[in-house]
Amino acid sequence: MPVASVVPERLDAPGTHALVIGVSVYRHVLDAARQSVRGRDFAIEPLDSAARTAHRVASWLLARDYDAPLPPLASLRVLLSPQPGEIDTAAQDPRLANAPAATRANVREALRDFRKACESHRDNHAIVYVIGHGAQITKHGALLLLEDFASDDHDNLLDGALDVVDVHQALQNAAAARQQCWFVDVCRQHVDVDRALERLIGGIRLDKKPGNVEASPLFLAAMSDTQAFALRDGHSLLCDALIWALDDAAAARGPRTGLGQWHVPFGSLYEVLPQRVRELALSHGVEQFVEVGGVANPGVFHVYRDHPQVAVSIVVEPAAAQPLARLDLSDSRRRPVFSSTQWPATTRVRAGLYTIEVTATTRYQPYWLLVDFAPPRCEHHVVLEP
Amino acid sequence: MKATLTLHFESSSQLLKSLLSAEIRDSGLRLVATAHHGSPLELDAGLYRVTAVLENGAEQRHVVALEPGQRATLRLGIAAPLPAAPAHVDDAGFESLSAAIRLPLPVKRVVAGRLVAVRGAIETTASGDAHGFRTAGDGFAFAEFEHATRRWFVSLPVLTGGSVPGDGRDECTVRFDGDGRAAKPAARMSSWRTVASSVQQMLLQSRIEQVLAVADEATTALAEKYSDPAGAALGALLLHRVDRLAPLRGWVDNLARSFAWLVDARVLQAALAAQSESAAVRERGLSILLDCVRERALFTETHSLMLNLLRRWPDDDGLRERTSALGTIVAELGDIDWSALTLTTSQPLA
Repeated sequence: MPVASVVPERLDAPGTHALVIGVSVYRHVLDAARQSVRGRDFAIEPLDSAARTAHRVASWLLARDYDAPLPPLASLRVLLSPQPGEIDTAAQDPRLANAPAATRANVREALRDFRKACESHRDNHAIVYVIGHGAQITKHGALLLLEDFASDDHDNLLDGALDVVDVHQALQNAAAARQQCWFVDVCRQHVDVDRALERLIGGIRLDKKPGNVEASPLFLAAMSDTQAFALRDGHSLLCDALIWALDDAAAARGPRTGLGQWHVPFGSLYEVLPQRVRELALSHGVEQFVEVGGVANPGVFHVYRDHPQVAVSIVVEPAAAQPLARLDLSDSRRRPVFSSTQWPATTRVRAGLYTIEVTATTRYQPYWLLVDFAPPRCEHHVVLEP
Repeated sequence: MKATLTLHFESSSQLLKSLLSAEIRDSGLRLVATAHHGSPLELDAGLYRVTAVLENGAEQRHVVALEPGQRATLRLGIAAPLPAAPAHVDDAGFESLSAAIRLPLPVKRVVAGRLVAVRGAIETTASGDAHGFRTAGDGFAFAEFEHATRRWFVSLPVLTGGSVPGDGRDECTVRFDGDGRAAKPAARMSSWRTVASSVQQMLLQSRIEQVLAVADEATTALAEKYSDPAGAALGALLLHRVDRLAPLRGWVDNLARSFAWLVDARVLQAALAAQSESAAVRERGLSILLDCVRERALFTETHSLMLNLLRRWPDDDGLRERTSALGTIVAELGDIDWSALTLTTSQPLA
């Protein structure tokens, strides 16, 4: 089955080219439907939400705005191996309805065409998101096991695995997309599986050409002894953290010279993604650590069309002061923005610098403070003194 | 009417003072300037947010109000006392209008591991939760610990061969981070090794952009006069990761030649050789690489780089030797903690 782009492919002008792979089903491992002789050594459980997560990322890529300096979406290749019922087909973008399976043959074909697209123009951008079972075999690298991993039809065990780091390195060349961003959301398997794969050379790879690119960070979802987690009925934590950082503007930074819009630089993702994934993991009682590898130079991942809003909550203490207290929030030019006598006082304002002023009759001293409201939300405690 | 703002970075390192910078954003959080230590900045009167990543990797943010004609100074640094967030307005002066926001560093519970052996280093301090080490003079340094059901092997970034005097102080510390039985050892260069420690801390806190801004000069400084070979190797690994090491090939060679125990420098030599268009240089690089496989790296990144090179050497030559070397490493080294800064491996206790 050909692995066509789900949007009309444009190679004659700078564009954003994306590749998304999600593997939940493994057909040849122990106890699988078509268990192979080789696969008996690999007790790999099917995943509940890898394909759904990849589908979520692909949907986000289809729906996002591509404002300058980001070139428009010019190709998106999606390969999914979901479990039955894993993806809500009723709600999905019809363009994603017939995504081919993430098998060795399909992935090789998709990679070949994705590379061709990436190398069609130096000013291209590239985004790669892969998720499934895997093995972390170096600090910044991983193998992604494909749907037909351990098939007896393959010459070598790793024929059914994608060597993500090798492919990442192959696309660091003088002809490839100037800015790239890679997300490797692989679950770390049982140590024995890792050790079996660590000593092998192989996997789907691409030839390396000379040269390099401006920036090509690679976010690796899990470290050793920590798994990459996903919610059984939801998405992976890395995916949730990424979408949160972008949709809630949690990774946003204000305009800068040469870029007059709020945006998400790679640098913000380096800081926000590991922190958010760790928070999400801890909220479920587990640990997960994101590692940043690749060419971690500055670049722009996302641009906001509008000035981001900040959810603000202001609390007054002590409680006895609340019935007497009045909040006046004003902007940097002392223009009133919001007033309240209800506590906590909540509102949404444009990100920026503000003045908080709280008065509570003559029983408490007035309170005044300059504050920095940055997305996605700010909570501020005002302690009034008698 | 304009006002003048001057930033002062507090640091014991003149180099870091000159390299650190702060973002100045206006009331709409638009970037209006990037400021360096001691350089007066002329700005329109108004509100500004000043953000800087300090030498310990922590971010410090201040909101400041500049009045027309005002000449204000803001001190930034871990040693600089933060102005307390004012509860009231008492005048229009700079300090009273500045609100400092400290971002909390992650708090980790610490447990102790039992030191069972140390080579190439001397244990200098041992508190309940930390072990301090300094170099024993020469050779590679590592320590063995036991904790819960595992024996841990931790490469120690001491100052072996460094021209900076350690004066008997802890050159690095090892703490067990995490909860209970799941705690793992983590080795860190001591904070008095200011430049090396700063690179380390910024890396650990994912301040990738900031560390890259100081990496070239910091790494060169660490390598000059061999002041801190381990710190220089860490900086070089970082530069290699972003493809900026090639211009420093000469001192990588020097580092490898001068510090035979520092396998990290030789792996970097091999990595640079792998990029060469000369088959003879690549052949020599592969030879260097294969000679490294029986030695222990100081940094996890080096070990990772070594595995990558063995798997992906640009020539087909030596495939059998590379495959064999991979097998040897995997069989002998035990489980690797890829999240650790220095190479940290473990095996189940018998």
